[in-house]
Amino acid sequence: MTAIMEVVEAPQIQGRSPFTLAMRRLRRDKVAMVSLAVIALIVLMAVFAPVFAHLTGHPPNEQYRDTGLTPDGLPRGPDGTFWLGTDDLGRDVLVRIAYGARVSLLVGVAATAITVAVGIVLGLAAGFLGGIVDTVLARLIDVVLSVPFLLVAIALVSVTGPSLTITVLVIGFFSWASVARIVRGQVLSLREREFVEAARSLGAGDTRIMFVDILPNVLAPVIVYTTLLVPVVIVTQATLSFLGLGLPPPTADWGGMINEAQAYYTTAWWFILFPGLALLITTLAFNLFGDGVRDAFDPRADRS
Amino acid sequence: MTPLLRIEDVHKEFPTQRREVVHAVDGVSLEVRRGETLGLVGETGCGKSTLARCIARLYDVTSGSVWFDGHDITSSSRRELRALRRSVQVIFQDPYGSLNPRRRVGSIIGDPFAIHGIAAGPERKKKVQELMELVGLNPEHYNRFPAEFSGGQRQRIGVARALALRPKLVICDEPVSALDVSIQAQIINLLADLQHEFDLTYVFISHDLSVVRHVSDRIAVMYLGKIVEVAPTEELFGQTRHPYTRALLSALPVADPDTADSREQIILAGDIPSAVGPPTGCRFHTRCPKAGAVCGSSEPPLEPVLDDGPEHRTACFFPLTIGENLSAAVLKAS
Amino acid sequence: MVKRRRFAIVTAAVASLTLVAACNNNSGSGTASGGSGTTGTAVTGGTLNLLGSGDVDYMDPNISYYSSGYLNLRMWSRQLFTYPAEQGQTTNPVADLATELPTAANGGISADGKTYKIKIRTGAKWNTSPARQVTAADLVRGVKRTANPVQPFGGIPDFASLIVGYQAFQNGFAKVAKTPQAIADYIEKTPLPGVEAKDQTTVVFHLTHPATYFVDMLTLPAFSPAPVEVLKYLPASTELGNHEISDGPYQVDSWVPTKSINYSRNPAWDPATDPIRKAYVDKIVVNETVSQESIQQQLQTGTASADLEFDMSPAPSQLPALIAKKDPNLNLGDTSSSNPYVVYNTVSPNNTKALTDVRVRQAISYAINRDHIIQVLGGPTVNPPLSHVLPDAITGSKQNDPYPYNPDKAKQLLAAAGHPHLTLKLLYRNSSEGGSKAFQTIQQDLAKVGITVVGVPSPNADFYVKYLQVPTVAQRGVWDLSLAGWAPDWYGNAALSFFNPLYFGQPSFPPIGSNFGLYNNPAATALIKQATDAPTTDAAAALWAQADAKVMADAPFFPITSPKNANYHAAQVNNAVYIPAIQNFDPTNVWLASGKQG
Ligand SMILES: Nc1ncnc2c1ncn2[C@@H]1O[C@H](COP(=O)(O)OP(=O)(O)OP(=O)(O)O)[C@@H](O)[C@H]1O
Ligand code: SF4
Ligand SMILES: [Mg+2]
Repeated sequence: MTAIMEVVEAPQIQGRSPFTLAMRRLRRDKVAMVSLAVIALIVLMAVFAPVFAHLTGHPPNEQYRDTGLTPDGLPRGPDGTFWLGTDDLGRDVLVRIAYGARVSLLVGVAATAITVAVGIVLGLAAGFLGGIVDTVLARLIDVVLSVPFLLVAIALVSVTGPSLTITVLVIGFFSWASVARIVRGQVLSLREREFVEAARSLGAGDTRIMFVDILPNVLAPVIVYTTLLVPVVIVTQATLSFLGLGLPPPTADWGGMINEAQAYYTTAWWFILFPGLALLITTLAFNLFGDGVRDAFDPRADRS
Repeated sequence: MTPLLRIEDVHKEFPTQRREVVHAVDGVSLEVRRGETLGLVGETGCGKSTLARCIARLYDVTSGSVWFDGHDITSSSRRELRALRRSVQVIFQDPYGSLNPRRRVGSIIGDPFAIHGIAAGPERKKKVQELMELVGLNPEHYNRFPAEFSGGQRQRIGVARALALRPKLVICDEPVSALDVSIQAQIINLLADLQHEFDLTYVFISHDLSVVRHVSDRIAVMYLGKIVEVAPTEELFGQTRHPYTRALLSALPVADPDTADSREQIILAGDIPSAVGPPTGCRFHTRCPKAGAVCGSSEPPLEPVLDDGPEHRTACFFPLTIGENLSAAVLKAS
Repeated sequence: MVKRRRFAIVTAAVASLTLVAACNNNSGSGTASGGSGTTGTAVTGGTLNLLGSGDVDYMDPNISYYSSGYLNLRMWSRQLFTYPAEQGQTTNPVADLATELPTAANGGISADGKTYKIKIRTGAKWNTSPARQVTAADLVRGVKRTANPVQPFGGIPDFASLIVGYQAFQNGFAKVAKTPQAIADYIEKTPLPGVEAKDQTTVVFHLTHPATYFVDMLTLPAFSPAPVEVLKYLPASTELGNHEISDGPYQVDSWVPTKSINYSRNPAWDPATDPIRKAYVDKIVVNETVSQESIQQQLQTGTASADLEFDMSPAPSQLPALIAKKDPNLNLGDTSSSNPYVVYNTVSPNNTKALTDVRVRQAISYAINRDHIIQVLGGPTVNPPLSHVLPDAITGSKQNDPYPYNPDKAKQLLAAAGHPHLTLKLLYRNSSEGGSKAFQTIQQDLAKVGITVVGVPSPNADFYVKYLQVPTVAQRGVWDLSLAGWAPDWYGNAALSFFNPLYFGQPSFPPIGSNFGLYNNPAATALIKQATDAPTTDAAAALWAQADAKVMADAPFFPITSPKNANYHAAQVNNAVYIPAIQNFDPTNVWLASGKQG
């Protein structure tokens, strides 16, 4: 328990929220902390992608016909100029991986944010309001969850044409249902709790009850799900890109790079290996970190 | 002067999963007078909490009417109810369940101010800390979570929250039954002090007659959704009319050794019937030692019986006379 | 499978789009033991195994329009003229069913060049029972079938106005019920004045104008004879495909669409009547269910059950290695195509109609670095540069490079035209590797002269249907530049097959033609008309060269390469001669080394 001085004369006693306790547990989890460090490195790589371009002197979309490609148009392997080799257009793989991290993280965060926001709101509404709202939303959740996501995503992107926005929206649209289902399940039991009745007796409206009283109680499972959702989203984005439905070229992104590289896996291993490793390490880090978060928020340890 | 609260023939039904109907409150008429404490007792499941929620308009009643301060609030709109919420507050039974575990105590107690837009920022904080002091909590614990308090302290939090808006009527739904006996007295004393200080009117619900006796001016006894007897506290104890009331009283631990011998121990036969298809006639007739033929067919009205004054009403065809021994009736019946 | 005219996908890209990851090892195979030359003594017998991933388009000579279909027809369907499996001669037609090439001297071609009289070899027979002579009437029937209303032949625009009465015949046919009976009635009862059976084996063509390319055109399988029996079935139907009658060295024993085709020797075929096909092997088996990776692997390991590709090519990424080690089993064959090329939308309203100004189009042509695109597409060995309309092997092709890479010149022209900065929308198929690479390379090149290129990615299915084939889409300026590809319908004297659909003014506008950029210069149109009607091949060649130069001066497009078609055969396959028309080695002329004849 920490006591801190407040502007008000009386010393304030800071309560230990379940969240604080979970964070404390998380901080003791070595694997999670290493994963977090890796994630931080990837974020840094994304943020400072231009530094990579500057260090190597290779802008991400610049094609080096002479130094970066063989006369037959094959990528060149790692050397002093191109540390991780070049791609099929003679571009620096290292720099493009750094720029690709931006896309992965941006989509990972943005799509997850949309997913979680929509999932929470609809899950709260379904669970709390009940009745016809719940019936309709619960059906909708079932429908969305039973849709073969990738097929529909492919169809949709083929119609609209690929773009960052559409990728984020498509992923968000198909992922909210899981969050909504989790939230709805929790809310169904939470809304029967006496503190909800208490809030009502104080004159709180539905919206306030949903967001002020119930929401904090569903956050733990949502946070856990969210940290595990980020890597899924990143992989999904990479998959769409891999299928040629990602970002329009020449924007660098890992899935797109792997897609371009697959034709060269016998002749230019570095071209597929390094973007693949970047994707693997990122998703692994997020997954291990997510596992740590889940353990930290484990409800069994929650009733301390 | 009009009573602070009056309810007339209030019914509350719940549909069940199997398309049946639970008659949780089944035609209750009552009034609560300004400044008094009305006790409400009855076995678990008899509909006390449901009645309390109907009074506080947390439920829409199925039929009947609810009047508060001379106004019919039976079908008030949400907006009108918001105003009512400031006047009628509830203290809940479960000090664990009624406080949001994920919110800090300061914001829980500050809720009424936030909801009604009364005070914000440092002003709200000041008011909250005053309230905390008022109910005997350390204001420095403003930022703690409910889990960091003991049961009694939590109930104090519930009291502080209920009093924040200076309500006229406070419905205490078993406010102490979840607490240790030693703590119960503290909370009851706190409630009594606050009643004096703020001119509060209480509806005090409990299944524990001794607690109710201690705090109440009048007591209403409930059985299967109905009031079976209502009387000023001492009269209810001195001139018990209803066989069910007598049965409840007999379960009380003996406070006065002198009367111990004259008290009989009545163990009610059978289970409490289901509120889904309550017995016809007098609800109690399936378990009543005095039940006669009429009891199963027609319902006894709630009215003064024998030589009782208008303050003491009983719903029984064969009310107990003073000194009548119920066990005799049991013998007779068998 | 490569579509003949409009390329469905930039050739190199199709093949590379395989998701199957298989272990592949290039080393230790491809010894030059058998070689592809004609060394050694030819051995008869054995089973020739073709491996592929797709099927024929139609098992019907008069309808088929794809190279894999043509490859299949090579076994069992003969034409009046065809391309021989003879190195260096594979785009020069020779007599097949016909007794000789018609000339003015031998009386085959009339003085005005509008009548062709062709005699069918006696002894060329259908495998009916009893075997029956292929007749002139069969040929007339075959030509008529191309116009059927159920599944008309895709290349009709090439000759609809050339053969006397064809257009009217087709219009009448369109009104006929789509039943075998109604179709048979129409074919048997309605004359087609331009194709006449003079006697049992003499067929006479009447043309509306002289056409020096007519014999080349008659190599199209669409002009195959059709025996009366095929009229029992709907054209191009699967039932017909399983009841086809053969006049070639082989016959179709069974065809399971998308799975397999089995051929065996045709007993009615007399080698004396067929100078083109040596037919060494006894059986031919096509397996249509093998992945590109696996095909290449099997061909390189030299198992007896893998001899040739069917509709597949080696993956582009593997080509450099095969080329580098001079693998004797690899062949880079001529395609006579122009693919990809950059189309300019000559009517684009964007950038205050900059693209309508020839100087702007010329500037773009100077600014695109052809070598750069060729390099990313796999280098000049596979993609030899093409700097004007007609690929080398097409009659009339004359070397001309009007727009060598010159960014300074480009900037000057842009400045002169008053458009120092442009933003151009480049429409491309994003799922095509070649398309995407070419787009990115052009984007980088044009940035150097102040032109911003914005990609307009399109799904494969929409690319032609929703964009290029709709003139209003071009007029609205949905795209300024695009990437297309073009292959001629026949080879050699085939300049018409480029100019007519691509640059012939209004009549060549889509959706009928493929002049996607709506290029329209009456002077060029007149030249094309003149070349089409030229009385002699030499005169035509000179005029086509002029038309080529004229079109290039107007810069309605920017040619990049006439790509090579890569084919690979197993080491045991001998006398593997690549024929552009079937985009493969001629299976009717290969022989299998003994011991490897499985
Ligand atoms: N929301 C509801 N839906 C259905 N039935 C209900 C509901 N609330 C209460 N009941 C039923 O109504 C009857 C009265 O319940 P209530 O909670 O009012 O009893 P109580 O006297 O407060 O009991 P306790 O002493 O256990 O608090 C019970 O049979 C109960 O099961
Ligand atoms: S009415 Fe009859 S059954 Fe009911 S309490 Fe009185 S005596 Fe018993
Ligand atoms: Mg209760």
